[in-house]
Amino acid sequence: MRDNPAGTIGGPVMKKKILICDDEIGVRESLKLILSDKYDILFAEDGKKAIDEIKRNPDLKGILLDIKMPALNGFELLKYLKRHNENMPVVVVTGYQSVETAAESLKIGAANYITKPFRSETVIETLEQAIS
Amino acid sequence: MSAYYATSLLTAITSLSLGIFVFLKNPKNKLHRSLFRLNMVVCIWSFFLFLHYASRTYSQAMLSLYILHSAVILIPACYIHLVSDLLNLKKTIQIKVSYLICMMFLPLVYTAYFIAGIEPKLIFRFYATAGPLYILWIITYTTIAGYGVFLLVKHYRNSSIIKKIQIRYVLCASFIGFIGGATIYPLFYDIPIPPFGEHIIFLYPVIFSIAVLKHDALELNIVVKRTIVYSVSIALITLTYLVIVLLLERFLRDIMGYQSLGVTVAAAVIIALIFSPLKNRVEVVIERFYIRNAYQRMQKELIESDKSKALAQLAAGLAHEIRNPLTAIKTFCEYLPKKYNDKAFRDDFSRIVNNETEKINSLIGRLLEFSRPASLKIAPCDVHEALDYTLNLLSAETLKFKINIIKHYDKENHTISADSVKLKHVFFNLIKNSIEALSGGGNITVSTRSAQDRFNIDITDNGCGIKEKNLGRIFEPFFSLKEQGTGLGLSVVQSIISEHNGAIWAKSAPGLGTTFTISLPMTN
Repeated sequence: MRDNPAGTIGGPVMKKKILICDDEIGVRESLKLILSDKYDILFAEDGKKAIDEIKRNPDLKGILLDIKMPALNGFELLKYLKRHNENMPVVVVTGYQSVETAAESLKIGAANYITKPFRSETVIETLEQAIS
Repeated sequence: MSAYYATSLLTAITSLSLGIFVFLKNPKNKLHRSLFRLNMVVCIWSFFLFLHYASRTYSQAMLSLYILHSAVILIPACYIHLVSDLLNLKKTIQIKVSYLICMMFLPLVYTAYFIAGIEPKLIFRFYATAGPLYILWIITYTTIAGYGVFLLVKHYRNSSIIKKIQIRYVLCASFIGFIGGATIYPLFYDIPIPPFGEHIIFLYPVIFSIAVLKHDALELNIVVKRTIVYSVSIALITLTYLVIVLLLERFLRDIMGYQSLGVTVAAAVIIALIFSPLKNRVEVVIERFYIRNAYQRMQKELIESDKSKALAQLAAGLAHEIRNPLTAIKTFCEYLPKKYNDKAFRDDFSRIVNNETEKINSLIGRLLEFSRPASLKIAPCDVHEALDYTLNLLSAETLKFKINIIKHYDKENHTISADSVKLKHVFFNLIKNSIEALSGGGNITVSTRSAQDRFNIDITDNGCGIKEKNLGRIFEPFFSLKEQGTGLGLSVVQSIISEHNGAIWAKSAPGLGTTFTISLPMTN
């Protein structure tokens, strides 16, 4: 699922391409609102669709990933990325405000994590740090 | 003098009955086993103390004194063992060393170095006089028991609230036990202080048992009452037993003209034959007149508290769900001043905020539905929707414990006549049980199939399984295989299924897993 694909080509500045993976449309729309000025955004509703997008887009620079999703959850996707040596910066966006979830995500390869509900500055800063 | 008889016998009876009770309550729990061990030693000590006070001859008094000291030398080591198990400390070496030191006194007990002799003192016909090495024993006792108290105090601060309460009880019991016990010794050294502290020692096993069972309100309120009632009944039966033995012995001696061990044994066999039915009868009478009301009241209270626990878990699950729509609303509100003039944004704002508010409203509605008190409300119910709803609520836990959910849903009709809220309760309890059986990860398979007028649901886990001897009891109220379980979850499940004219059963293979099958009528 691509948001405004034409925006990446021919524009004055090439935006970095990121993937937002969350099953909640409200969260996807919120992240789009925060990040669409700076990034070219792809969407996936679950882990399986995220893998398809990753395979289709080798120029992907980072992923914002929810943990609780149908089909393939965030932990499983992180493990998939680790298995396939994908050196992809992943920022976990989780509703579980627990140390365990954060620690587990970082252990299996996430660059950082944000808890919901988030502040827009936190999202921008955390993603920039992870990608740079 | 008779007061000393009575209290030593009372201590023996309370130690014995509470020790056995706590042990049978959960034989696998190391703390329960520790308390049983300590209580048995105290029981032997106090029973032979009773016989010692009751002795008529020098040899009887000496024999009972030796036996009671053989038991008493184990008390400090058993105490350290109990403290270590209570605090979950791995003090294996300290425990072994304590047992070893205590056992070293065993050969000494039978020598004049330990007990120099017995003689009349104060009101006692026989009372021991300490030998030269007895002081070593008192020092050892004080040191080991003091170490136990030190451990309790040391770990008090960093313990959980329940553990703190347990520690307070154990400290109180220790104080009663040790201070009470210490009053026995002055007279050993001819200091004319009577062993008055003995009268309170019987309280120590009661308080210890409360401490061990403290985590469970059920145990505390019913069990302590029950144990006291049983203790009294066992005391009465024991008294009857002794009287009958004495009378029978005298009768046989008068008729047959001689006294022998055989006569006493024969009398004991006769009494043993009537002992068990008599005890059972007393139990039934007590059960009928005393316990039942309390039990029913507690059962009601616990069903309510179990419901509250489930509700708290549901609330936690829903709180997480609410964060998603909140995130969206918060973000769009944050951008509203900046993008107010952007029509596309205003359209998105209106759509998203409206949708997300609806989501929150529906989540709150679901929570209220669960908390509603429960008369059966039969209506068309989509079983798959109820299952998915419950699985979603428990998704935080399945994620946490790395559990895969496998669904094999029947594609045919899956709408039945049932109370959907109550059915969700059933699924919640069963899936929660499966999750708890899979703490190291695994699979939960949920299958449905319709067969003519029945709809069957299987919930299978590949966890630790249930032993055959326990499988028949899992639906009994208050039967629990979990340390912190109330034992009500599955009994509530069964009663809900019965209300729907359905059936539930479980199959299990230890080490391989468990399947719960629910069979419900399609129409009710």
